[in-house]
Amino acid sequence: MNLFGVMETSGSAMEAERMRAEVVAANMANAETTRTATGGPYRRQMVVFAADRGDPNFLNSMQEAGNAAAAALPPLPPLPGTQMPGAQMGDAVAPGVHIAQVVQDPSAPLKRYDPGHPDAGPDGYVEYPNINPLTEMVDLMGATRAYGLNGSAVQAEKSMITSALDIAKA
Amino acid sequence: MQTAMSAMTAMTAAASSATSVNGAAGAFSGALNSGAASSGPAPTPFASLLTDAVGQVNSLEGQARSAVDGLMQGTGVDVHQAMIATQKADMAFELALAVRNKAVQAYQQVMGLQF
Amino acid sequence: MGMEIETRLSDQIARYMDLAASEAKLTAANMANIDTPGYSAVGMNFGVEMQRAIQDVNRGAAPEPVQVETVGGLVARPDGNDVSMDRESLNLADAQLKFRTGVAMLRIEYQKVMDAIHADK
Repeated sequence: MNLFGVMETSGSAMEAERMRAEVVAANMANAETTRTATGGPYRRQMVVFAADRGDPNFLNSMQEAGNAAAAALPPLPPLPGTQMPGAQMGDAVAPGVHIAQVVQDPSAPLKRYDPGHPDAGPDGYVEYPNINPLTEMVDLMGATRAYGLNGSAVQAEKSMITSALDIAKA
Repeated sequence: MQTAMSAMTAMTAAASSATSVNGAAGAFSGALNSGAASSGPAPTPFASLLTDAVGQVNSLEGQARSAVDGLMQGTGVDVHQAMIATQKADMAFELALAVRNKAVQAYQQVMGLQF
Repeated sequence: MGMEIETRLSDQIARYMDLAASEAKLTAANMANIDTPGYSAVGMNFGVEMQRAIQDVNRGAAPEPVQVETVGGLVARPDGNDVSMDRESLNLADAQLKFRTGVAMLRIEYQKVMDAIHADK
């Protein structure tokens, strides 16, 4: 892996963090959604990051992350449990990060009494997503900070490559 | 760098020995073939010195090429490594060129001698 | 008698830059995994590696791979991740400056050789 590979490492992190921000945005947007294609209220989603294995074939993991992300976002995949897979460090250095899965919050939806609501159950309660705007905001800030951090890493790598070009300048 | 110096001393020696012999061109080619400095402790033929330099330029050029190839194919060669290899090849070429120019200059000086 | 266009110092500087690049790689890997559960920060001992590289250059040996180790003594978050944003930022700046220093020193070294070649002009 050379310095361009390092840029891809940082790039994979930026992509993953952007995905995380998108998921958070989707959660916030759907904080009051009581009706989804799969039935029932919207369920809060979370991303699970995983370090890329230390293989030199970096493209594969990037593609995997992209596919997983594309498959995960708009239609909700029913993922049982929120089991966190332990990050696996490759042989030497992880050549980046990817989103291993997007999991659904298994906690029960909030119930509000509103018999006039079209989605109200027979008991008059409407199920709302269990989304706390504060948690989402904190998550969004974390994503933004990590995105910025990796952005500045790209900047640093860029300047290193540029200065390396000066070696052969007379 | 030291070799560059010794190359230059060899050249001046070649030039000075040529002046002492009549038939300047013959003397110079003799110096090229059979070793220039008769006074040096271990006389290296100037011709082999030049061949050596050209060979070195060639091998460094090959290294630079493979480094740049590796950089472009993404086989893990770093930018600075490719640049260093290129710069080394460039310097070796400059050195060989300077030595060659000096040699030609000396030859022309000898050819221009008036008797 | 071979023609040596590179000096020992310039080779050592080249290794120094290799190591600085390695440091940047490790730091970038840590930064990328700042939100990965269970990830532990990796690092290298620059001083030890440079010492080894200098010895390698003096012996004329090929570069050896860098010893990567997990950095101990960092405060881990509840998810087991112990990457520190400040530490990594600092390390990246460090690696960047080392790299640039290497470039500057190398240019001086190469300029000297070039000046020697063109000394008669």
